Amino acid sequence: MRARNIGMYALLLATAIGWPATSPQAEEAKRGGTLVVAMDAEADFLDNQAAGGWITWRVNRNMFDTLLMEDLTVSDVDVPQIIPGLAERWEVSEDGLEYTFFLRKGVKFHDGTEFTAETVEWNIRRMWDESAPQYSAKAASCTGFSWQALKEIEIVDTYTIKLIQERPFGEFIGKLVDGGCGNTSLMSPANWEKWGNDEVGEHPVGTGPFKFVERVRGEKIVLERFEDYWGNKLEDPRYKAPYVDRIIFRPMTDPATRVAALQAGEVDVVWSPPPDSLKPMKAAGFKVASGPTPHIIYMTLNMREKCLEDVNIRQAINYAIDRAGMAKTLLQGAARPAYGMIAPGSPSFDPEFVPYPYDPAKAKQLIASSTCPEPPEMNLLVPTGGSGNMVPLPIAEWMQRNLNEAGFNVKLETYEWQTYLSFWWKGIQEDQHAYWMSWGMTTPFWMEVFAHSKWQAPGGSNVGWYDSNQADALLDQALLEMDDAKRHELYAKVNEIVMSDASQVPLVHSDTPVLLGPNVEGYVHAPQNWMDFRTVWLNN
Amino acid sequence: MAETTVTASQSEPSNGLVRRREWEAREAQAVRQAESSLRLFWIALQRDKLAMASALFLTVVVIMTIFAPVVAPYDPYEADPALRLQGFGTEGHILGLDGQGRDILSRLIYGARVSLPIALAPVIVATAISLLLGLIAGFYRRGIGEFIMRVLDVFYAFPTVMLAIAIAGILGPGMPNVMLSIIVVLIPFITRVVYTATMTIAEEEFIQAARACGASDLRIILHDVLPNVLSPVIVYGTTTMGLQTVFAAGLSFLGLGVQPPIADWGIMTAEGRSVLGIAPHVSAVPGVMLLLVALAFNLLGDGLRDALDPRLRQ
Amino acid sequence: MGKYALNRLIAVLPILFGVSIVIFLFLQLVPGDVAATLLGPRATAEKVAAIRAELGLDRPIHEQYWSWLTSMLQGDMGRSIALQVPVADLVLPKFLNTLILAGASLLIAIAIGLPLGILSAVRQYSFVDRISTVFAVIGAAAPTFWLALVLMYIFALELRWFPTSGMTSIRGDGGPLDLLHHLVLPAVATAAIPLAVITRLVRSSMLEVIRRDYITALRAKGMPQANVIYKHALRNALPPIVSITGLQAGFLLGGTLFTEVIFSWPGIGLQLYNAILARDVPVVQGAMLFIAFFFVLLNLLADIIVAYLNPKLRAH
Repeated sequence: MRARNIGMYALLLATAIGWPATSPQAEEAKRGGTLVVAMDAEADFLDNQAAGGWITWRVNRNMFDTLLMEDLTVSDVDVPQIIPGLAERWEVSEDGLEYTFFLRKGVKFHDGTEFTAETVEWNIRRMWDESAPQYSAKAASCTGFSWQALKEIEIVDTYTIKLIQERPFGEFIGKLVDGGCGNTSLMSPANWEKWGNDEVGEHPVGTGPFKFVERVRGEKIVLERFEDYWGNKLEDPRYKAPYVDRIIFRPMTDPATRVAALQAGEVDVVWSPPPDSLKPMKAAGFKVASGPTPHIIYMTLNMREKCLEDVNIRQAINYAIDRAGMAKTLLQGAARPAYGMIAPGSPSFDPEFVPYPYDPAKAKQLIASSTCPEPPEMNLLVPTGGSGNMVPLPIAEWMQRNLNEAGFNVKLETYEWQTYLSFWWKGIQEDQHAYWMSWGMTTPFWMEVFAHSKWQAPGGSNVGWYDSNQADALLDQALLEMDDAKRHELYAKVNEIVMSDASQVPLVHSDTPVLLGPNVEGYVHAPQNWMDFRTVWLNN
Repeated sequence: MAETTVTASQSEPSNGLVRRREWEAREAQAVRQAESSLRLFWIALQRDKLAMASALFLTVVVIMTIFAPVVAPYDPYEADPALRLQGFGTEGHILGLDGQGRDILSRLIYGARVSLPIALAPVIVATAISLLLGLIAGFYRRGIGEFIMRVLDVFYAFPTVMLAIAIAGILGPGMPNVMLSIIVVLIPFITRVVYTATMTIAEEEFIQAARACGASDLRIILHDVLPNVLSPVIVYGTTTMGLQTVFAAGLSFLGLGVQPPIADWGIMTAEGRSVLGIAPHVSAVPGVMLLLVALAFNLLGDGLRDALDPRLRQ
Repeated sequence: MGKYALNRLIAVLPILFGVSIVIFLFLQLVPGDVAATLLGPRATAEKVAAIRAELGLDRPIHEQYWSWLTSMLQGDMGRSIALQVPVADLVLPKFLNTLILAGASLLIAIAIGLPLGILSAVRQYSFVDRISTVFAVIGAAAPTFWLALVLMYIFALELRWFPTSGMTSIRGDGGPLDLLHHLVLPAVATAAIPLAVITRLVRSSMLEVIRRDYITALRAKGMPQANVIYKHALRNALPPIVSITGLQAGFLLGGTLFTEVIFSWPGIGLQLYNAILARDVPVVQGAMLFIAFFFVLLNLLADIIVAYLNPKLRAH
């Protein structure tokens, strides 16, 4: 059997691009200290497989490892490299149906138990096998995309496991390393036996570089360096032991408060700082880390609404919005305009793709020539905050003003993020016109998530009832395509179709700015919605 | 206690004529008193400079609110993004601009169109409902009255802020829900004012006399009790208007009130929160306006109370 | 005295029962589906139905109420939907934090309001009286959320004397001094309204008592001024002051909500606010029931103290 060794391929590619063997500061980097991170929202429960949202994953990924992982220790790449994680290497059969993972030996969980192929099987069954005692409906719901083609799990030996798919799934590896709701990282089965599905999220035990110390809801989550971390024994900088002794995550929902806490030296890292604070803070000697991120804020239009059924109206909406002004003036350059549904940091991203530049005159003309020349009042549902949403109300108000200037009559309806999500999951209701979302993935499988008609809500994330045979066909083709370049091309084509149908209204891609104290060194902004803290050290 | 007195008076039919005269005289007096309530407003204002100034200020605010399109220099939704977050005294924008680049003075003026009615309408509605409940409860103290007051006692058991936020929050954002939540939390308080006043009046001789003469309950309530109850209710209503304006703005501040981009003093204060360190004027201006309006209502209420208080009237 | 207290206590029971019914019924109005929230994004209709059955949401409403009430009385407040932890674990510690904040505010209000009110009454129309009246009038009208922002801007952002948020500092030792440092701004912001109310009330009740004949008589007899004021006048002015202070203490339970939200004080108000926004019904129910019970008991306590100070009331 001729196997394609993707792990080897990735390694070679990474060497070709050339990550620095040791980062420039490595010589002077100091160990020790406590890094305090001001989070923009409270984390969900710390059940790595069932928790939702990027904020929680940013905490969990320090404690949990996946079979394969993303290298977030370098910033100068377009897409993060997929590198071996708990699996040392992996092989895919030529027909794309069999994935064999060769597991790392001597890996210990924080509770001292051993990591083996059985652990992997146990964990996958928790997310996939309804008959397993450890099965968690929520974990299954979150990771469903990853296991969509899985047919069988076969333990070859203690350190080798084979996953057999019922059909090819080109983005399987991409989905496997993806974070947010639906990460496939592995937890300690022994720890689960102690707590069960309800409580395990309060007592997380993984194999990651940091272990859980304590959590006080609304106040802090404390993690401590795990001395027996498997990466500590490797010389590889991508897995090296973290510099800081502790990380404390502190939820501070008020943006001004987060910035003030950084100024007062109470915290070292601020997530989601108000864009208006970036320039003054930089001038005051603080650091800003930001860059392209696979992130997009977009509005989904209700394809079943009478006026919005007309493509002219949907295109008019897309023409009416001054995305560049939004990114540059309102968001102070902390975001870039989004013209398509694929974000930077994804292999299918094309920066030249600008189907709808800002053109209010064109928008007015399209409205006039539509079946709906005098658009009725339109309701837009918008969250008031939450993971990755930047400053949702100001963005929404800006968009609303643009739309009203073009002749629309737009009303906003705002909800708290969690409540908002419970509405969003149900799909756009009859009397509503558009729903906001902030999302995005490195893997272009993302296109299927919101555009394929089979994922229409409820039970899917196509909340606007978009139904295009052309897009569906291309998505189905891409799903089975095992050749990376061809597959990425197919997804880019779907983007063109979705945008010519104007079923979505992309607004901005956040650069995910992070404010850092003057003493924080080695922070890396990789093109991802979460970050790796192992490179960070404190220069006191 | 009231009912025993009633039976006693019914057993003395011989005194009927005297009692009837007494009742008629008192009823006429009560009507006069109700008419004079309005005049007392005026007297109170004339005597109390602070209350006068407050009334004047509120009148100006109301006029500006009505003529907002004429008074305000800009449209409240019109934005000049290039000037966003500029402070006091920016050319053409005396109170500066907000995060979208909208003129704060214009939004302040238009904001009154939301911030005042959202608080004042519920006070009026709650007063009307409370008058009904309080008069019934105070007049029929057994049975229905007992029931009304016991139910209201349950609502008394919640801290008002918490109750209103729970109602507004659960029902979802929007002006009607905020108003509803304020009405619900106000009713127990105003009803108790009406109830106490009604009880005091209902025990008086002339009411017993009216009953003895066969006047219907409805007539007694409307002609004899209501005029006497009105004064304390008006004072309470005026005083609480300031508090409710602040409170309704507070609900908007928390995101439970009207929705952006509608200009409302609470929303405007909230919008300045994330730029507090950079552009404090965005939050400061609507806050000062709220303070002034609440202050004016409180002083006006104090003035009215003093005017209507017989001990202080001399 | 004991009998009075017992009677009042018995009278409170039906109110508490009513409170539990109101809270339960009220939360039936919540839009959104608990089951859908629990299952996450890709919930199928069958799974939702199964969860609803598991939670007892398909049973008649009175059965649901009864099982809710009985488990509440056994101390089982249910589980948070959004946070996946027992409600009691959330509500109790947060409530203690609120008590700290509310207690500090009440202390400020009494410690300043009582002497200031007495002074104003004794020296009516003096400079002190005028100044304190002006402050009381403004304090009563100032929006708490705005005052909190003003204090934060001046003392935390500009002068940097106090921290902007939280209850303890992450780097600090979490000791009493650290707590005190964090407590100052939220406590002052919350104290403004009760301080204004108490100052005005103490002033007016003292004025009323001072004007009475027997005080004039005592003064005429040559009793020292301080003695007259503190032994006789204050003692007689106390019942309404205690009664209003009790009300203000209850008011503070809700009044801290704005300051908790702005200063991220991890109290029950902030918890309740977040739970309301997230439609987390068990937490809202638990927190509201808890606060209402405490509020009722606090008012009861104030009533009993007032009765103790003023025996005439007890006869009724």
